Order: sequence, then structure tokens, then C-alpha cells
Amino acid sequence: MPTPFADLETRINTAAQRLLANASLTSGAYQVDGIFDDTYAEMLGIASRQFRFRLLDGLIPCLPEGTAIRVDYRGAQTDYTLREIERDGTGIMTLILEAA
Amino acid sequence: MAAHAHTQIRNALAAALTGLATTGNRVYANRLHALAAANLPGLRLYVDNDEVQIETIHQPHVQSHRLMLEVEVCAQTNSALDDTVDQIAKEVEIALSAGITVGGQTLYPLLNGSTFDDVDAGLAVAVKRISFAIEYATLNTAPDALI
Repeated sequence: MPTPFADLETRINTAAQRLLANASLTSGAYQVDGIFDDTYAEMLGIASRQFRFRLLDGLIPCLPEGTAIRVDYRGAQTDYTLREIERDGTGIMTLILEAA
Repeated sequence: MAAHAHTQIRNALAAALTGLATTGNRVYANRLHALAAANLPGLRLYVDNDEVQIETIHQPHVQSHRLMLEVEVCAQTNSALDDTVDQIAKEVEIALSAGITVGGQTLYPLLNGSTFDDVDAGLAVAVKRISFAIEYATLNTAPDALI
């Protein structure tokens, strides 16, 4: 059965990730490019950060919580710990990271 | 004329809690803005409800106060977050057990209880709110002078 929308979705995701990727992630033998967000977040009256790495679903296996992740972002390598993986169902997965 | 008793108590509370082993001089009274990394671990102090009871009939009448104080223990770390706030809470409770001096009187904060909140994030945060009550009395004509 033809699935033109699924094909289009895959092409768009691939193009978007290729054009917008701003960081590389390394974990064990895996190295992939993706979109890294380091955003301000205020919680309980305390200024904090939220770290997310978005990449094409399937580029890395389903890593367990606690996996060590290194992100190369803007010329700096920073170590994180994987806390969650969110799959949005459209071919994008988001890794929720915690500062190591 | 001295400042309102609430101000004096808040200042005495801040003085008593400044210099603790874990939080040092990061003590903030009635802080409205978010604490940044440089402010942590730290303490936020709030003067909260004041329950007043009239003790005498004649003017000026004596007012007994039960003033609620909130000490918020604030920390941000991805390891041993609970242990960190518990350690600070211990330091706070010990420091206040000696009482605070206001207008030449020693007032003893009475521990009412505590609540705990934490949020996971890239840098996890936690706040333990410790409630104390302080009892004192004033005349209605002189809210700045403890009797």
C-alpha cells in the first residue's frame, strides 16, 4: 500500500535534521548529529536549565536510563546522563538529559 | 523609632542563619526573583501569617502575636539532592534552637513542620519549606517594641 504522507514525513524529518543539526552526540559506539537545546527553566523559584537532544528516531538504539551521553555543542564537549527518551510518533525522538 | 517587629524579627532570623556551613552568606529575605546558581545552595526567608490576640481591655492593650516564619532551603544538584537539603535543614534547626535576639529579648522559633518539593531538570532543584512560629507581645500603640 502506498504511504505518500509517511514518505513525505521521513523526507522532511531527514532534511530538517540535516539542515538544523547544531550538535553531535556520542554514546559508546554511537555518534549522531541532532538538535541540542539548552534552555532556561525556572522551577520552584530557582533558575535552572533543560537539556534536550532531538534526532531522527532509529539512529540510536533504545538506550537505558542512566546512559552516559557526551554532547559536542558550539565547540565544547559536555557530559550528560540520559534520563528519558520521548518519541513523538512522527519520526523524531528527544533525549532528556541531565548534567553529569 | 525602631522598625516594625516583623522587620526586626526577619532581620534577626537572617542574621542567625547567615554563616551556616552549607549555605554560608546565601540568605535572602523576602526574595522575589529566582535564585541563580551563584545563590545556591541558599535560604529564602519569609515572614508569613501573624495571628494576633488581644490580651487586655484597657488602652493601650496588649497584643500577643504568633508569627509564622518560613525558611526555604533551596538547592540545585543532580546528586544527593535530598541529602543536601536535609543537611541544610539540620543546620537551620540547630541554629534557631538557640533563639534569636529581637529588641533585647530572646525569642525561640518553634518548629511547626516542613514540606518538600523537587523537580527533575537538566539541573534538578529542590526546596524544603520549614515552618516556624514565633510568639511575642506588643502594645497596640507600639508595634515596634516587644514587651
